[in-house]
Amino acid sequence: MPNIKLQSSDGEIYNVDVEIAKCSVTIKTMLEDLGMDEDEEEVVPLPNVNSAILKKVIQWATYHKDDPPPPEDDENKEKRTDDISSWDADFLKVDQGTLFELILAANYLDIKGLLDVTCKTVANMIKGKTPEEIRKTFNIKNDFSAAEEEQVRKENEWCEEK
Amino acid sequence: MPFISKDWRSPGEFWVKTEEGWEKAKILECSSLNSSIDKDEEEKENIAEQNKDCSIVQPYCHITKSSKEVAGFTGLSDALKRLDWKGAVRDRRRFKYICKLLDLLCNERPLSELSGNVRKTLFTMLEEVALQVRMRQENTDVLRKLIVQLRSLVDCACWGRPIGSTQLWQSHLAVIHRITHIADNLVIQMPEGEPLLEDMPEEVIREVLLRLSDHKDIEACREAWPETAGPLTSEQRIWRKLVAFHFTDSQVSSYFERKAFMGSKRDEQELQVRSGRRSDKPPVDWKDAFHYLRKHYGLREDYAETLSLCRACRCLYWTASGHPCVGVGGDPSCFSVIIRPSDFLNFFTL
Repeated sequence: MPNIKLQSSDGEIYNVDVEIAKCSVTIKTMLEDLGMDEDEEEVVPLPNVNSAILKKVIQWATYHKDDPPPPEDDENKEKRTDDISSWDADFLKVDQGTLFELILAANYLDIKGLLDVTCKTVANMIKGKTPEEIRKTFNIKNDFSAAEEEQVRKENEWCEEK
Repeated sequence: MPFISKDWRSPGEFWVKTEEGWEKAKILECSSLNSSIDKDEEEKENIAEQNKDCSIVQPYCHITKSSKEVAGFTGLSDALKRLDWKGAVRDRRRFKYICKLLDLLCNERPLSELSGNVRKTLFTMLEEVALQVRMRQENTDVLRKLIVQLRSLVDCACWGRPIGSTQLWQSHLAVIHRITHIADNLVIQMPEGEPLLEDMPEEVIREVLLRLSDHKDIEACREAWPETAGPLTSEQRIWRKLVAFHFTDSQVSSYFERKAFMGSKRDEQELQVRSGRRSDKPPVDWKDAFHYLRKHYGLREDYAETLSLCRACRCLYWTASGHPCVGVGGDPSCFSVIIRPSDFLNFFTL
């Protein structure tokens, strides 16, 4: 199997199987557009991903390399946030900063599966919580005044009437 | 004089003492109850531990709709134990199913109708759910709902009704007290490290919102974070996807038919008043569509994992673990039916 060298933002180089690297649509498109010769020593720079996150992304992609392609437009799957495999759940037992960095990397590298599972994890952190709890969970500063908040609540009152 | 058991046809049960009291050996064989670890210790790593347990012993339960006299009769508490409810509460995929089951047990059946054993299991399950909510800091609504339900249980407890054995009721009260304590002391931990949700680009926040299946969560996001999530929660795509998730095509078309009917009426009135030309068709308001459909049809019940019943051998099992019996001819999925929480309770005479 041919390998490809991926370089993180902090200069670390990872030698990765091309098939695994192709989990990322960004890398796949790049390889298809530019072509790649055998024994290529060229390094692919990934300036938006640091080494710790790139390592995790590679770990995820290696585990999921044989996954069948996800069905297109499956509404149920997208919303079923508790449907996370135990491996992924363990993999994502990380602090919030790492989780968001993984989301950014998955978004930049265009890895649908990883973006899906990380977004589901964030959605699970939101589910069932009050606005105040959501603010605490994500350390969101509330810039709205009490009057503005009341306005938002009033605008949505009609949804709740039975 | 030899002891002759009440059920003289069999030698009786083999009982084992567990942390939660005496339990039949046959029940312990197919549940993770026997691997009881100290509660404080287990809290941090119990999910992984339990998942391992689940993979070793596949929980299942044969059910019969026969009377107590027939061997193999299974009561609700036995069935719950055999189906490894403890593992299920700790398993994220089964958590929602179990919560719905508890909700039905607490709300739709008066506590006084449940047997002492079922009540005991029920309260242990409720406490386990509360512990899980505290540990994961997720699904806090479950805990809030639980507290309301438990308060109403305590309020309606008067002599001769849900109390039953005073000793048992005392231990239930202690559980209720512990759950209330968990709820009162639940502190949501602030995140450490960067980046934060606030640093995420809009497309990422949209992806997260697209994964919420409850409109209340979307509205809560809007309230929690009006400046960024606010405009996103008004996007038609979010609501269109929510409609597609909860309602069938025919239900959705009923909304459009109504809209068309109302629209034609309004147009007629406009024509009469202004005798002007018809205005262009307004774009679909999917949020309005969602709330109209929600009020008419209710939201869809969706579970990541459900119980299944094999109609060939009448065995209940968790769908993802597969059929536990060997030697069932043909594909087991042809005989199996999905069992929703309400269907599950119908199997038992409570």
